[in-house]
Amino acid sequence: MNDTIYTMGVDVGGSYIKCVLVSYNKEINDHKVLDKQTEKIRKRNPKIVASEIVTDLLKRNNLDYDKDISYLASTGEGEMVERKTGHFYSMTSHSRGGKHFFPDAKTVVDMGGLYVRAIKIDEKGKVMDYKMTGQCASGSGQFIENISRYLGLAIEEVGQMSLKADNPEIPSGICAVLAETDVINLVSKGLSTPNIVKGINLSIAQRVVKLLGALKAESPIALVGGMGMNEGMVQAVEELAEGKKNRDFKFLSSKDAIYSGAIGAALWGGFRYYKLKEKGVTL
Amino acid sequence: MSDYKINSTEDLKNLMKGYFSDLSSSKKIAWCTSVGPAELLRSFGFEVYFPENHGALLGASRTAMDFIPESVKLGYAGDICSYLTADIGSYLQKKTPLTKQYGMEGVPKPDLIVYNTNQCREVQDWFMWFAKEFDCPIFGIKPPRHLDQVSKEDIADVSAQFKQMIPVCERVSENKFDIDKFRHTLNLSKEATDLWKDCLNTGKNSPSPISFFDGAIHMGPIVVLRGTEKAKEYYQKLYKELQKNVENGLGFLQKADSRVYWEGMPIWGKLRYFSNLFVNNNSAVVASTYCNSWIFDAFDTKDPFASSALAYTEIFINRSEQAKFEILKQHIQDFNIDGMIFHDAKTCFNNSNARFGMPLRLKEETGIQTLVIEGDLCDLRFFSEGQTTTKVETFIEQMN
Repeated sequence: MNDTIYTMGVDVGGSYIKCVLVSYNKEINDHKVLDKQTEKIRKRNPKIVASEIVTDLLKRNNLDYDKDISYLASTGEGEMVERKTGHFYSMTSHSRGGKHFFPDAKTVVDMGGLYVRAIKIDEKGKVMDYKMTGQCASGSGQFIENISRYLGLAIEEVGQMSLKADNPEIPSGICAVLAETDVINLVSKGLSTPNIVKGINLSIAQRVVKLLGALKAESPIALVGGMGMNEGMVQAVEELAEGKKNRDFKFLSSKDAIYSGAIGAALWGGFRYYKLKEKGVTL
Repeated sequence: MSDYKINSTEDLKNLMKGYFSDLSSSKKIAWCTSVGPAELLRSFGFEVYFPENHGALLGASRTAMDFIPESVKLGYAGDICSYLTADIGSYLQKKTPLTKQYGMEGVPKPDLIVYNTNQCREVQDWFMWFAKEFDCPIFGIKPPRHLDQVSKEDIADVSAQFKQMIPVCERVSENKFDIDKFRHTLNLSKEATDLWKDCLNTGKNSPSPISFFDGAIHMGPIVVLRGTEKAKEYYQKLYKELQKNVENGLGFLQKADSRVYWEGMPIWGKLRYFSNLFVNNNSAVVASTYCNSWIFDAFDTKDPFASSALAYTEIFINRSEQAKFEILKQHIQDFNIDGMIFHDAKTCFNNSNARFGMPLRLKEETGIQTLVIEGDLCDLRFFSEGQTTTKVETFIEQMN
């Protein structure tokens, strides 16, 4: 008996829209990410961009939305996603997505474009507690994008560049505008690009480690969200956590970390589809 | 979305219109802080105007941000009390929402200004600026602050300060002090505040007929019309309606998954946003420190000075961290609360209780969920809707 269904997850973030196609089988408790796509929003209407990605993924996989997709789940700022079956809170989705990547994770840190959120989860991926950075862009992925643009780097280069640092200098971690001024000073002082980039990663990592402490986080810790793909950031978090006394944190990261919200939403979509089916509700 | 509504709201609009219209009469006007000795002032025949109410109006109309920079030009920092900066800025720009709403040209000119620092020192700076501007007599009451308990000595101290107001009030009002008038006014105030308490206590029911967001609107008369027949009559009517809704099992959210308490100031310009956010997520915000702050159990006509001194000194904001902790614990129990929102108002540290570990301590001791949200009473530049939505949604999910 083939009980496999297809679900989709669309995660609308501050900078990017992420979409995944997932096969989900409740009977054998299995799922597989079949395809995925990311688009930078730029100055476009997110609703249209999201709709286009969904259509692209369906086309590429020879699937028909009405016939084949059991649940299209939105998350993040995705309330406006067309054709969605339901919406999931972003922390709920990231927690489940973190579990997808690392089933043993007890804490998930979503490091996104707008802010960093450290989330303590139970064995099913349910949110138990969380801490979140405050209202300053200096703790966000968007800040790294701004700095990389200023330094003439592609965002994909930032991680590797940071790994080459030998004597980083940390800019202000209180205000993004002050930090940008600091970076301009560092450039004029002749500091190398890797050392500047590593300093930026360290300034954000300081916030991450502080959140983990306030949360009384348990290890292992999954680093997800766009910044979770930045090897330099992962290294910076590991270094600072190591430096703290009485902390034995093990960090996990994935090159697909940016999809954690979308994957989590797609999996919760599959779960909800079966729940509703049990109750006799047809979607 | 439920079509539940509180019908007394229409009466409220007329009542507030009448209040502001009376401020334009030829009677003497006293300005007073919102938890100041309004009864004593009314007993001398003053119409009483409350600048904090105007501050809330500047917040609710989202005009505060236009006016705050005007005060900054005078040297006030942008992160001190946004009631103060918005109100002074509004005065300097000669613009006020009172014009559109009540046809007033501006705030009423004071004959006397009275403040009580039981809430904060900011009111002293704020009111003194206006006293200088209007060349108007000013009287300040400075009670002991941050108390565990209010002692007899504290009451004697504040009573004495109230009594020192009498010659000033007599001179400005040209009326002699009359203890019976004071008793009568205090009695009216007591009756109104008891009714207000009854109204808020209907929130103990499920479904609740009144939310915190409704309360923030319906509290208008207990703030500005304390000590009048009109306020008493209004709360009689409101209570009757709410009680009837309780008997009929009606509320603003018929089946709430969770019951929430709001700690701290309202974010005036976002009341509707928050109301919708919670209701859409099946969560009922049924009680608050803020609305409860105008319940004055201690008023007693037998000893009007001592009892009003006690009532105005034992208010939540004037208590120690430990006393506040106990009061909040009691409210959690009384209102069967699942979670508490702490509004960390960026320009009002006096009325923000999240900064010394209270949310965590309450969570550990009572088992409820707690959430700190950053914002402000008036200045929406300190508020991020996207970030707050994410936080609140997760908070609600944790309670379920």
